[in-house]
Amino acid sequence: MNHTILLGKNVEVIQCSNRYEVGIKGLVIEDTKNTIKIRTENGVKVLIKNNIILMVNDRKIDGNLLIGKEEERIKRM
Amino acid sequence: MGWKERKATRKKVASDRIKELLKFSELHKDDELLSTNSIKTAVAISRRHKIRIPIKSKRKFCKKCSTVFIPDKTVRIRTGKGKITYTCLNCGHIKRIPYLKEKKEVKNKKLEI
Repeated sequence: MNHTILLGKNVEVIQCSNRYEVGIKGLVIEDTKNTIKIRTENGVKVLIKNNIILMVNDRKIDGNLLIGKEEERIKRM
Repeated sequence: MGWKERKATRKKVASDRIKELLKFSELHKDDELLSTNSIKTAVAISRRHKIRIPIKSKRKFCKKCSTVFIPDKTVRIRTGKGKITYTCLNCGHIKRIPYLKEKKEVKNKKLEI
């Protein structure tokens, strides 16, 4: 039973279909069904989980596996 | 794995997650967004998986807007007429709790003496 926890973790974007979003780093503030809110040096950014590959805790995770609210993701695994 | 084992593991994972989230919000009291969002997810998990939050931790945040209570900054605490009133300074919601048990204990101690 391992579902990834995102709230309060430091996160970096490795790959994205939007080339201007690659390299964004920060702390996760909010975690909704399809998006993540990150606080960076330049302000708060909203990222879409569909087309992203993240680096969390020194592990690569695909954004498609993280879709859904946290209470729904606990059931899944 | 039968459905009973699956249900037991799901409930255990959910209750551990709720305890972690409540501790996390206590640690990061200064950060408004982090603490309110962690309490909102804890309440959502307890609603979805039918797990009760302990009473003592229920009194540490506002039921309506999920802000953590910090005396003199986000809450006003007063006593009167046998009740403690917590007024949230963010949304204006009022919570009143009686303290009759403590009064009875004090009375019983005085009678013993």
